[in-house]
Amino acid sequence: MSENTEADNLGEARIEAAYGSGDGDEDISATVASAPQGQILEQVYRPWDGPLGPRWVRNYAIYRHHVYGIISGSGHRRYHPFVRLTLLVVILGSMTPILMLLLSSMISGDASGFLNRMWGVNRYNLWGNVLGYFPRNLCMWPLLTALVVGGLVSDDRRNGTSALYFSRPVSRLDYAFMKWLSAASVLAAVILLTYMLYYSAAVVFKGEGWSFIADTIPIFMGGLVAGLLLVITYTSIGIALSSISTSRFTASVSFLGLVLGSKIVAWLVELQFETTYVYLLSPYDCLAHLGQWLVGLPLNYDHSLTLSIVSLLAMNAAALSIFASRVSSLEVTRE
Amino acid sequence: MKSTPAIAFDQVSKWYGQVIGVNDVSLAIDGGVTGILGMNGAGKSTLFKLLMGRLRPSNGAVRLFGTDPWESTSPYRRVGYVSESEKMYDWMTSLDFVSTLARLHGMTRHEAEKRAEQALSFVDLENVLNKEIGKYSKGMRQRVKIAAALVHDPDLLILDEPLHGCDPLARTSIMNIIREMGSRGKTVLVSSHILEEIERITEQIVILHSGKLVALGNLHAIRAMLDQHPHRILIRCADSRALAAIFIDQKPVYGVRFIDSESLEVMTKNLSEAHQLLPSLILESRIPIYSIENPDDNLESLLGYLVGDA
Amino acid sequence: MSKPKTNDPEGRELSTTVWTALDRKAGAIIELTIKQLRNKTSTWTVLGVSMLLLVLLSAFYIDSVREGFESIDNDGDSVDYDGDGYPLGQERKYGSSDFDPSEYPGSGLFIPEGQIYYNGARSHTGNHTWNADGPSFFSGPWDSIRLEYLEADEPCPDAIDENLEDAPYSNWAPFSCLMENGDRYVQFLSFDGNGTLTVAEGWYAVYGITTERFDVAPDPPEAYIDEDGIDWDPNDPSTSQGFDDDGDCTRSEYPEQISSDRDDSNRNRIPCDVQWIRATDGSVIQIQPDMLVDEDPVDSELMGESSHRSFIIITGKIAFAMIIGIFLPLFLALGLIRDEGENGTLHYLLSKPIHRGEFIVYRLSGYLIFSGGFVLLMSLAMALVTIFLGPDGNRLGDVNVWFGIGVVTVLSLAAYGSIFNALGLLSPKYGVYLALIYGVYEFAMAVMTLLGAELVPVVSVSHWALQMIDAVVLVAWPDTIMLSQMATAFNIDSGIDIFWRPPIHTFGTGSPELAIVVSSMVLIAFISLPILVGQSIFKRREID
Repeated sequence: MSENTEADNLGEARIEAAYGSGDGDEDISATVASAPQGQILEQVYRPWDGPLGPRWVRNYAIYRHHVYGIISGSGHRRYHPFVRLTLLVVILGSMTPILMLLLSSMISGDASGFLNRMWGVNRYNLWGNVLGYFPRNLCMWPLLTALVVGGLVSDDRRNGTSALYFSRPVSRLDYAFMKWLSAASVLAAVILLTYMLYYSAAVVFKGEGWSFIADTIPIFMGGLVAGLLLVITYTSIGIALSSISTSRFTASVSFLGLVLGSKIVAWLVELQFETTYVYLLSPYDCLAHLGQWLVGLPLNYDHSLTLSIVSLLAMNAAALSIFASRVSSLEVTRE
Repeated sequence: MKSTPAIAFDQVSKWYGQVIGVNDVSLAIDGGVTGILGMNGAGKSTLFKLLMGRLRPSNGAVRLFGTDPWESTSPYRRVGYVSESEKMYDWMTSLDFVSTLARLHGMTRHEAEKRAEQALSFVDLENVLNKEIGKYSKGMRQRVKIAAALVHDPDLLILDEPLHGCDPLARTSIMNIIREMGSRGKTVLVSSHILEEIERITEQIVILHSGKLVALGNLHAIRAMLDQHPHRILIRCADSRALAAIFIDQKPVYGVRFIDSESLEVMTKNLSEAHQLLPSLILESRIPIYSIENPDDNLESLLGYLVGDA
Repeated sequence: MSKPKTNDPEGRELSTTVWTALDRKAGAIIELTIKQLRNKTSTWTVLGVSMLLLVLLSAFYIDSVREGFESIDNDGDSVDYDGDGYPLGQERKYGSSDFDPSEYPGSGLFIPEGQIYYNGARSHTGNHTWNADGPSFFSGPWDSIRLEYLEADEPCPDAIDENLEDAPYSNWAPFSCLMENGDRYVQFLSFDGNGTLTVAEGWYAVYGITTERFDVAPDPPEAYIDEDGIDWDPNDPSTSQGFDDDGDCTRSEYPEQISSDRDDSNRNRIPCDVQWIRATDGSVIQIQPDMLVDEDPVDSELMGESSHRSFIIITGKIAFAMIIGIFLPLFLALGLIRDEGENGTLHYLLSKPIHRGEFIVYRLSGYLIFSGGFVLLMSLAMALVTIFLGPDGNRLGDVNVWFGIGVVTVLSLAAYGSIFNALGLLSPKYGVYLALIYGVYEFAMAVMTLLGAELVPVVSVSHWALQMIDAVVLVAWPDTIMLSQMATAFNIDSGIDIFWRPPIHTFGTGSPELAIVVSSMVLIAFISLPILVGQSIFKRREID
């Protein structure tokens, strides 16, 4: 009987095998049977010519997809709970000066004065709120960047999800720029917002008047520009590293290694060989150098500021060109 | 040594949280090729993973050569396992891959290489054994996996969907390998969701559905039992009405249904009898026939009958 | 033994016993792990970057060796801070201040007679030496001798009006100018004159007489570089040694100007000496100089060895223990088991007769052989560089220190490898993030240890690794304490006193050998505990 069945099934079996296999093998016979004489279907490509939304709307969708995930997971790019937690800890950590100012405004006497001297608004504190090494640029900003930016492009490369963008009316430039912008906004939201909050808190808690604001606003703006440059530089370097690796952790670790390692090696060389030129290789130090000038602090690097600026520009340019070339050669499939 | 069966499941259940993977399965298998049939998600892979100590049974006991595979890795020296996973070390050559895995059985480097070469030539890959696996076709990769499972000459071979995604040539070759292993007296377990595939390898089958054991034993015997259930035969021909008139009087046929002027569905409760009868009737009628199909002769409808919710 | 020992008691050939089979399995997994690491681009990138880093440091080292050590002014006394023409060193000998241009060798001593107080009468008339502490006007003739360093006849800028509201005192520097009416504007200035001084509201001035003046020719600044060498005789058991060669502590040249206080800052009741404290074995463990004694030794004699050592120490600590030690495991060890699970290749290895606990150990060993081999190779290369280019003498210590640094780094690699692995096994979902954060934590703790924190960083691998390097250095070069003390005591800018401190974990004995034992025990605990934790988790892990 089984022989019989096999004979009856012969045609079907052969066709089924030829169609390959996998899930849905069972359904193939019906399709085949309906065209017993064979048939060639005419292939007509009809481009879709419906109205496209304006470009910024499409770009905004990409941007939103990457940023909203921090708050709500559904439908947006998922941020790992741990990244969100780190984000929160970093925000809280960078707001400690605000707490101190609040404390200083609530108590009186020597302790208040001490708190105010330590955490009040001055050139050093405004610089330190963005560019201080410990703890901000040792533990907080690099880790934040590494976690936020690490998987931005590498995840797409690993999973082949860039195809989701490139099979839609989204140019590679849009894709790249929106990725960059979304990462930069997350960093800016943490770094710059807490900085602004700190300044406003100082004004509000101490009940400072217009003259204080007029005196300090140039310094504040200098710090803000320095912070913006930090956000831009870290994002660019991070995203470049992300675009050359297929694992988000490789990218994260590379970023941490680059930022922390170059700084400490430059420090080593300065102490041992009395030259500060190696600091030019450290993104943090170039930013810190420029930042000192922007807020009007004495510069504590021996080399000229111009070199730091040139190095900073070169770093950004190199990072962005790596990023651009990787995105333009990004496969539309899983790599 | 043969007193304990190669495989024994005793009232084994496995839950994944709220989802049940394997439901109260009791089963012992020893010797010969056995096909494990079931739809996707029926619990075939779970069953194998329980056997390979990758999962721990939520209930009941699993024994591999009389030993609990979750507790001890010692029975693995007698087992070869081909997983359903497609992933391999693509950067390795197949010889490297197979001999590395052979060395994990405690063979010397030299011995492992020799055995790996033998295993690879057994699966017809002797010409490409120094090529990287990443450059292989799917069928070749599948055969490398089988070679890796065979390299230590196991008593029990477990193959999870070995034919999945292979082209016809590779299928035939893999089926031959499995039959060969069976004829050498090994215990072989093969899982598939395609009845026809299993049928070409073995007659001893186990059917799983939703984690439950629904049938086991000889395929023919099961089929025979199922023959009593209504079956459909789909015939495409030039004149379906004329053919229907001939068929309706026959004893095994209890109904016909017209689909259109060229298609006819014949319903029978005795499939084998109907298949013996129909060809001669068609010849007599001289009506041109385009095709005859048994739409019910697949796992899905078999399960439908077995489980009764088709 | 007539029978050849090829069979074990059960008669099996030796090549088939359980142990040899175990060896083969270990060998296979280790080999597989190394091959996997070799096959990743990121591995070679990381190793390449590490190598570049060491090449960069070696290049700086070679450059500094080639240049030799210039004589530098360790105590900064060749600078003329107040611009009166006399360098600090010369002013010190005469006891005059180098921050007041009106006080210089031979300028005489000022003896005050009266003052124009903050809130008293605003002016005074007489023939005095005047010390104006803020913006003031002086009318009458004055002696310009003491104002040579100022442009005495410079006309005043428009900004100075007679109400002194816009006085340029904001720069707090001595200043004087001639006003249109012939009066003089002065601020922060000492001068002689016969006339009336009017002091601005809220400021202060003193007047008095100056003792006899004499002429002293200014010394060239070069005379104050390397002018006071270390005077120490190792064979002299006396603790009080040292001699103030240049006389700036004893003020040898003009003793009549010395007030009373010859310096005895080390409080051994002997002014202007250096106290050398030795341990019972004769090695110097502390050096306490009085200020300005032996403070500017000849650099080329002392810098060589110290800065050579400090280069090795800092390279070992920062480049090896911190950068390679922390980041190499982050790149290489994080995925040893986790990646296999993610890629779906783990089951090939686990469906073989190997215990999962063994599997972890073999995996880690493979990683360790690969990365540790690299580190030892690199430390050997660095050893060759420093041996051939270092200062003359017995450089055997270099080899020992580099070997020690290599071993410490390998221990850190092992510790981080097993910690990262355990984190990955503990939580497949959060493990990598935890590892990343832990890496940053370790780095921060290393920075703290480097800067001398003793208590906070104790719960970190990097702290113990850096401590162990300190101990290894002391074992290989027992006189490092002396060099470090000398660097601090005599202002030698070799960095050895910044980067190296005697190991602290010696239970008060000060024995570096004990510190090595303690540190390595702690590091081994850091290695083995996570392995045990990882094994017990992995044993119970279902692999889907």
